[in-house]
Amino acid sequence: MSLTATGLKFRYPSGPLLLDGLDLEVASGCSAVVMAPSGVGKSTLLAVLGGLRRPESGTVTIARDGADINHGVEQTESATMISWVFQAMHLLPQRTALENVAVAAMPRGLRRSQAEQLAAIELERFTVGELARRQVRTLSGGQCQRVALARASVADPCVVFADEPTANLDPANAAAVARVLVTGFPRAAVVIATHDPDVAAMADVAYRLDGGRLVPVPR
Amino acid sequence: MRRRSRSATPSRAGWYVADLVEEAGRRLRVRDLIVAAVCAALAAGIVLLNGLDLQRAIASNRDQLAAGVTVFSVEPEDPQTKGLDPRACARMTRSSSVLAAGAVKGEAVSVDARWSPSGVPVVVWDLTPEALRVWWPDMPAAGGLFAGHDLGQQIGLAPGVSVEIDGRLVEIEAVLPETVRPATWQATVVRTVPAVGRGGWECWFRVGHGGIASAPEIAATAFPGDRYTLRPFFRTDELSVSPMTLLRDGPGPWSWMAALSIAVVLQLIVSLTGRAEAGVYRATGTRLSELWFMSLVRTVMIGAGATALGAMAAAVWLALQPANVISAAGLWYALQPVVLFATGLLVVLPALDTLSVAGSVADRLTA
Repeated sequence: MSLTATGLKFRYPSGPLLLDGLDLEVASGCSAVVMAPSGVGKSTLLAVLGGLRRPESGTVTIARDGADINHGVEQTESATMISWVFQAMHLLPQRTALENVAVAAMPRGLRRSQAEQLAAIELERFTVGELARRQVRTLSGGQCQRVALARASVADPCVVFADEPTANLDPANAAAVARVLVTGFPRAAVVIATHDPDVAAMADVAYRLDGGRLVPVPR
Repeated sequence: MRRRSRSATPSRAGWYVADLVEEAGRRLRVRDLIVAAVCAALAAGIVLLNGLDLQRAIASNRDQLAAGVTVFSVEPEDPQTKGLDPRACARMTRSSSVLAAGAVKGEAVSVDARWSPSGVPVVVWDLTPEALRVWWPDMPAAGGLFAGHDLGQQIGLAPGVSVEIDGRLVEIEAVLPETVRPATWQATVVRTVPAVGRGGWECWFRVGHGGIASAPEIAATAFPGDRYTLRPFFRTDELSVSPMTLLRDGPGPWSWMAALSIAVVLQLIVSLTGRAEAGVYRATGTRLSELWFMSLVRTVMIGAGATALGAMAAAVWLALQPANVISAAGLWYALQPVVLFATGLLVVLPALDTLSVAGSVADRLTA
């Protein structure tokens, strides 16, 4: 399983070309980091790779079934192959950690009880199992991001996109979350957009987004 | 780390309906309760507006009926030389539109009539019992002599008092109720007489509300060879408003639309403030149709439920008012706009909620 992007071009209406023939390939079990200063287009790249935005040209292919997620596949279909970890986490604040994770499993045809069993396993895996019954608004930023990682994992995705996942965390929590992120999805391709060099150091490969293309960062 | 097998998670299958219903319940927030409270208030307002409007229309209808808006008189063009056949007049009731019909003498009777023993002279008016029933459906069946209400007030004529008519004493049977509107009758003594001959008779009849327009046809059928003038007893003028006009121009036709507009604006605000949450569901694979279903369940639970409660509360309040004149059927009329309002809620609010998260999920989550 892998994520392959070829010749991606994208610009916002009347804006400059943010992606200019960009290519990327990430094998499952591998992690790739995309670094760039704010405003260059890291989040936009992830949105295009994840099918949330449609490119002017180019293709994105997830190799589970060869589906081209930008051409002809419904957005929510791609959502079952893709999980997201956002900078803002986007958890449901008045729900428990367990419910937040289970919500991502139920669209896959699981009963709530089954989904909550899986959610409990994932929360344990991301070391926040004891927080399962607590409302996420009572959790710290690091704990919330681990819940978000568990939510990303419960769907058993082919690809995980993480957009600045450590930006709101203190250095200790950021390092812990980054470590979990690059090791916690052994069956998925993980793409992380960040400007944190420590996160880049943990990933299998790192790129710099420059002039609409990815340039490898020497390790 | 332990890792479950990929096959443990089914591929794309969607939510179970029962879980969607439960999830809709778990997603309820204070903002939804505000929407519910507003819907309840709007529904109550609709019922009260329409109920009070209906009360006005019923009162107007009752006043116009009492004033004789459905009563017509058929007068021969030359009552001195020619009258109408009183039996033909009575036969008018064969028409389903005619509630009562009877003949009345066109002028007071030339008799010597005095209140005995005071000797005060009184005027006597002859009419058939059927004619009196046009105004007084519950009149004594045997007919007799009746004192006009005004006359009774003025000189003290009352049931049991005798009037001497052409030297013969006749007891007053009753005083005419005030609902008998012809002023000349109320100022005289009314005597029911058999329908004999045709000299001097004119014909009065009362139709149902829907029969007003057919009055000319009814009269023409009853008196095909006669020349006559048909007059409504009470003619509404340009300034008088009919009960139907009151209802048509009242709040009924637009109140539910105005209320729905308010609910839609409120829901729009609620939906827009909750887009990020809905975006989470979308980003984790929930279909738009499933989000719509959750919104529908929430609208049923909150919007429609609160609407029903508000409407019922207002209906009960209306029914318990001491001056209430609205029947059960009338209450149903007042509730009809609420049914439209609730239907509109069920159609519009879930669609609006779903549309607010349609399109790119990225705009809601990657900011």
